[in-house]
Amino acid sequence: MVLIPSNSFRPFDLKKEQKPVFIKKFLIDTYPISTADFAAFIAKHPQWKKENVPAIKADTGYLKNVDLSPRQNNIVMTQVSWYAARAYCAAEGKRLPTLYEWEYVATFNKWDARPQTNERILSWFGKPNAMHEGALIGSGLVSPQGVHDLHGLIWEWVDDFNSSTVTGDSRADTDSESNLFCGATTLSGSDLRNYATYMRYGMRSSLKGNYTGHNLGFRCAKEAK
Amino acid sequence: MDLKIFYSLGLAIALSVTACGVKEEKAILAHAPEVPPQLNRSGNTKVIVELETKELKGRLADGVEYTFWTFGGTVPGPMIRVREGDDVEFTLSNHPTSKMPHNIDLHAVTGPGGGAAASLTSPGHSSKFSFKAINAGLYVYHCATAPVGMHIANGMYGLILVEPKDGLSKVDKEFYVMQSEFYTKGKNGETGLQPFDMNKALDEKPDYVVFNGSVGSMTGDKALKTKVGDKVRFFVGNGGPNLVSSFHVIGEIFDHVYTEGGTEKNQKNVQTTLVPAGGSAIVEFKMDVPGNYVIVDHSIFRTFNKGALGLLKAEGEANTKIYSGKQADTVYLGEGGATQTIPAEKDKKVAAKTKEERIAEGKRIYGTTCQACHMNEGQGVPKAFPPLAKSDYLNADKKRAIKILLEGKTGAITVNKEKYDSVMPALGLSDEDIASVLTYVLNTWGNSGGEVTPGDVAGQRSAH
Amino acid sequence: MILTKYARGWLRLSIAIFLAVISLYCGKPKDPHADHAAMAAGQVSGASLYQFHDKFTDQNGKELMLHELSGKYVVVAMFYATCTAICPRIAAEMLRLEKNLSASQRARTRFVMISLDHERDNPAALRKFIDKMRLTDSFTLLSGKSESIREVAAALGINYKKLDNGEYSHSSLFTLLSPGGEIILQHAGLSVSVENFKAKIEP
Repeated sequence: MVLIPSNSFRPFDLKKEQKPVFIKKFLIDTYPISTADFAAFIAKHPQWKKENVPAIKADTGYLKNVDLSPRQNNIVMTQVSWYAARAYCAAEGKRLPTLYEWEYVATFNKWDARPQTNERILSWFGKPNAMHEGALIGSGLVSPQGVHDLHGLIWEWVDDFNSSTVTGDSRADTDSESNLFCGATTLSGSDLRNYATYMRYGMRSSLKGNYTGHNLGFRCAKEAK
Repeated sequence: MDLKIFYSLGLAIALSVTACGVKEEKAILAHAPEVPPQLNRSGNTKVIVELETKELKGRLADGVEYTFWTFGGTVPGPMIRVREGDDVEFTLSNHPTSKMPHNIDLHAVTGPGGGAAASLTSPGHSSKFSFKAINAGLYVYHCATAPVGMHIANGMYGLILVEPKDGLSKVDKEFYVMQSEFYTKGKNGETGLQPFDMNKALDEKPDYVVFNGSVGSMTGDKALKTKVGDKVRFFVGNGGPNLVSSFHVIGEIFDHVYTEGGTEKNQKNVQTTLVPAGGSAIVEFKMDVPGNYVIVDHSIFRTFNKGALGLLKAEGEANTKIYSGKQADTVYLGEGGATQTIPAEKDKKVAAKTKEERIAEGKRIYGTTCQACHMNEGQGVPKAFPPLAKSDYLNADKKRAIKILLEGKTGAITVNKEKYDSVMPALGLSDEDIASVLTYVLNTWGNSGGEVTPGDVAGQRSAH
Repeated sequence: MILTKYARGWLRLSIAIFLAVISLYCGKPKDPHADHAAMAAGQVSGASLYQFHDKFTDQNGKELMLHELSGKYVVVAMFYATCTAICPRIAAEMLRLEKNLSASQRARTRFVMISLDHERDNPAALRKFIDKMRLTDSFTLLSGKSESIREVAAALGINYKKLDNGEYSHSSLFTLLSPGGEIILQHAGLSVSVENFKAKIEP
């Protein structure tokens, strides 16, 4: 795990007049969870075997096409729901990172917005997907703090994924009288060129807790003493 | 007496079944340039529309690939046809291979986001919502997931027609054409899988402006076909994301225009009609004279240099009273007369060295530079652009051919016993490119063969 | 045409067949019990919200697990007691829905509001909200630990976030649960369609 020191941070959805968010120091997994990791978890916790998980905690895509035989340990785990990811982290004495913790590391000092990096991130969105290939851990980008694969590999679950209140581009969001949202923090987007971040927020708001996806995985975090 | 009762019994059963029979139908979707058939039912019904979003790699131009985000696997997405007053039940499914969530905003929908809020769909999931088509007209639909510009720029748009209650008048042929732009990392024509270029999109400087999702989608064997005498209707859409279109069919005048896709046939005798980004138009005209009619965006550099060109063919008896043989090229070149120079492309990094390499490279250059006028089989356009296929003029003098590619050509010439008096612009091609394209043309379509080298071209260039 | 007795008989038969076919095909109501046809007593389906065994506390301080709501239809939404923006409207919509149900439907339905504010919404705060909004006996208001709230919200599809000033930004979503706890209808935003909800609740 990598130790992330305490710091203040202006996340993407923060309005100009709002104070920055304080990120208390924490530990985050260097790499996302692999298929081998998850296979070991299921072996110890059979209630998370596909046939034992109720539909409300994982939809029919749970573990679909995932090779759980422990031959390699460098294929990233996907097709897991938020409930499954939470259970995995809890079993390790950890938790999922919060949205702000994740975004803080992923955009530390705006490393993701540097033209070359941003191009590589955007080109991941443009690459077509092969359903039967597992993506290799380590094939994504490395952050300045030494955390791998936050970009260019998969989307990742966060603990409060459902705090993202963006629906479309400008439909309900900027209208403060909108029926869909209470409160003022609907996504306005401080930097419209940072489309990659915009897409992450949009992706999270399309999810429900039991959803699974071919490009959706996770990593864990922990309090730092 | 028994027979009468038998019939009335049968009628009673038949009436009862039809009176509350299945009052819903599945919408017939059509991929451009096809249009779903005119609705032949009277009154309203519940229409089921099922649409899938899918991200896939496809051809944008010869040698150029792009990862399109699509409705229904094509750009543009399929056309939907319903009637004013219908209740539409819409299911949007996002293929599990998609990386992005998608949704749909149909401009025909009255309601928050045009359906966008209700249809945000994660990969591998489906969303359903319903709306009543309370307004007739021709409407654009598109994906409206943040960031909307990128989703539209990658190909997520199409048309939905809400027919007025009395339907539209009968015509012989209907076509679906949707213009849009593509912004790629590489320049127009640069081969390989091209990623989307955000900065070009923000600056509104596209590399490709095309009809129906790719260069050449309606040329060659994919040209639209009609007969002399046909009444034709075009449903024209503009997906944008940025540019407005000046829609024009060379050699035709629109007898009727439904401006901006509304329900009034409000203008007659229109040459060029504006189609707003995210908007539409309906145009109608009759084919009176046989020949090839070129469909363009009259912001003309988009047509010749970026791909906004399609072909409409009409076959049948000549009608010399209407068209005796006037040339169409003056329209292409605007002012006419002066020979234009088109800015040169930078030299390619890999030079063709062998005859085979020249032919292959020449074929590609022909497709991007020459095909617009000389057509994809070198057949040219009668009375406008001379043929290159089995061309006596070409084969007679290679040096002259090189000179034409270097400098352009004005003045009358005779090719295969036909007279042509057009203008060919100086294309500003490099020596390598001229050598390649000439070698290709000389070795294709029954021409005399042989090879032209960059040295031959350089020699001609310095002689002036 | 004067009908003979014979013909009248056949005419009556035709009309009878006509009416029988009409009633068979037209407007056949969906069986509201279809959801829990396969459920034995005490067994809960995989798609049911009652798979969550979190403990909540109601407005009277009584501890409650969600499955204790089973057996009745549940209209559920999320809110918090100090919210002045759309939460009063959410409550008002639920009241409006309740008023428009038939007496027998009302007897089968529970209206549940789950608080997002695990820090401040204790039973007293919940009771205050009930008084302020004049909620009826059909209403159960719940508060719970932040983990429980997050899990249930994720299952329903409700997005929410705590703001700097202690307020919550959250989406408005009404959900109808079957007596077995499965989601059978959802409506995002406000202005609920009463007809749609009524149609799904057994009369």
